[in-house]
Amino acid sequence: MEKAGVPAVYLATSQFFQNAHLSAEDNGVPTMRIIGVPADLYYRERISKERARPVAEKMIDEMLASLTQPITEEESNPKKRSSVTGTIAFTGDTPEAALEDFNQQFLDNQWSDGLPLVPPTPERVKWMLSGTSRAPDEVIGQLSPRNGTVTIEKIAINAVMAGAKPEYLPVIIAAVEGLADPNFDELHFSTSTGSFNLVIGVSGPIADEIGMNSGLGLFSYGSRANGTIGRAVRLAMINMGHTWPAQNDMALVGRPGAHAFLTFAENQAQSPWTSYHEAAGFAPEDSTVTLTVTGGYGRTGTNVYGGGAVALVPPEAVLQSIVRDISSVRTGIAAGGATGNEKAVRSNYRKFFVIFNPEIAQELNSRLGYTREKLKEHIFEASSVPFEELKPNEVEAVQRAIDSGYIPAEFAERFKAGLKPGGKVPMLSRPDDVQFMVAGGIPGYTLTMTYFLDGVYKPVAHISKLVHSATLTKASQGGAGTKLTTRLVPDK
Amino acid sequence: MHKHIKSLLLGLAVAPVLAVCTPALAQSATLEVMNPRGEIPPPPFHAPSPRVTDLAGKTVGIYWIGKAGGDNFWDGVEEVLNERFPNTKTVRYEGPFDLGEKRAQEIAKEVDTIFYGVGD
Repeated sequence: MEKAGVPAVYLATSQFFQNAHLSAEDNGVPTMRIIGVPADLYYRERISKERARPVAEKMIDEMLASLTQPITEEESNPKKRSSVTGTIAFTGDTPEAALEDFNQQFLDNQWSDGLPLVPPTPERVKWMLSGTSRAPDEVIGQLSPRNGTVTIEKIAINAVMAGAKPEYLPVIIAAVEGLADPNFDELHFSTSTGSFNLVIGVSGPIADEIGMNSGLGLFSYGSRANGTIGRAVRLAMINMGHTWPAQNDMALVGRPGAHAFLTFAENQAQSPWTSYHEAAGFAPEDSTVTLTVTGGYGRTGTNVYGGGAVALVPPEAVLQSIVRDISSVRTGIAAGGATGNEKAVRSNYRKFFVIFNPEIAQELNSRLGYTREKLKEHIFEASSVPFEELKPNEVEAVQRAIDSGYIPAEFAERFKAGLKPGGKVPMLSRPDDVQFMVAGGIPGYTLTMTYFLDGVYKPVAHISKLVHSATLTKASQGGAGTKLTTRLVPDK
Repeated sequence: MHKHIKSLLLGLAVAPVLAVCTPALAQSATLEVMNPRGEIPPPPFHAPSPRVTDLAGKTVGIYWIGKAGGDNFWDGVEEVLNERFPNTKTVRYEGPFDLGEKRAQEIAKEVDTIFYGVGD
């Protein structure tokens, strides 16, 4: 509104006060007038009009002053922000003292993730860069929320700090390229109060070559590749996205695996299906990194299916449970209908990322005859809900999705046929809303992870990027050339 | 602390990395590291708009993104405003966090000044 010439005052709770200032700065209005409403008062008293009114009375004088007191010289001409360039030296009485000073100051300046870092010395960064043939000054893009510029060298510096090895660098670069892709919604998951999480899945021959864990304990500790690839991505977000908890990363309870995300490799050796990247349109010899956003906790987060090493749960039952849960997680469709916001309808279809453990996948394929495509089609059909079970606002939301052309033309007739008495209405917008990889050991568990099909601020929340320009592995050598480098879900 | 890091900058000077000097030379060790931060390109600067001098006869907009309970707070603000300034009109708006340039321009034609609240 300020850019539209209207004197405005932004009200945020004190918990979001710094976040609001950073946001104003990033949007070119660094001296915007912002008022912090005490969080301990606001969140408790907003429960009813009667209880909220005294909060309004308490704030009103400050609000009125912000509307009417003239803009000061400092607000009109603020000091320019300074930046840190060049190398940085830490001196101590001993190497240990210098190292400790480095770690403490990097953390104090919010350049660290809180765990000890490997110092990114020029020599070690050069060593890291030996893992790629890409130029250090190549600009990849920018990372949210503060839009810091990403270069190959900056990625390498953060990879060193994470403890990665040079042969991991092309994978880390591909992951950061995914985050920086203009179509990928990094902003919402990395800043929302909902503690949304990031899944980083590597598919293709480079995973084995660099020693990634794709088997038992796929999200566990003990794998340098899994752990440091994920940590390098986290550090890239801290240092190029300029994100920090309780300042602009407002995840209320934080994320499981906050230091290294959920980083794993596809278990192609025990998968009955073609690899994930090949199914996505990449060449068999290619390797890819897939980023997909998931809820952090609860039924709209990660769900676990199967009996593991304990219970006897056949694959039919695993599949049935997955279908049942996809049918039931449709609160988003209801919300879209309630707000009457066309964007909200589109945003509230959900995507599901499934990690099948190998023995379930093998049974689904060999005994039950499911190819990848047949399985997606089955889940799409079986998770449909009888028309009579939908609430009026859900019917309204689905109808709007059909009318707006959001439902792909090839599936629109199924929706129309379902949207009448006796019909069954799909809860997914298309079969491709379910994506899956095989990973984990035998025995294992199957996992589903879900989030909005479309991003909240940008078009997608699921992206695959080609790994290329590797120099230290047999896989992924050479530039991208004319190869497919990006695959979005849904296709845009 | 940020100032502290800046004070330690060496620029592009060549320095020994974690070099331990012998006691005969000096009792110190220096660790030189590279900057991991991605530079934020500064966006074009917009100064805040001139304020209204008072609210009498003015139209005050109240924009809220629909987050739970915010309506209770803004109802209270609207009531207090109407009590204190009977000649001031209030207009309520609801929409997404990023209201977009087009919507902002529309609202700009309808109000003299505005409160914007996310609900967090």
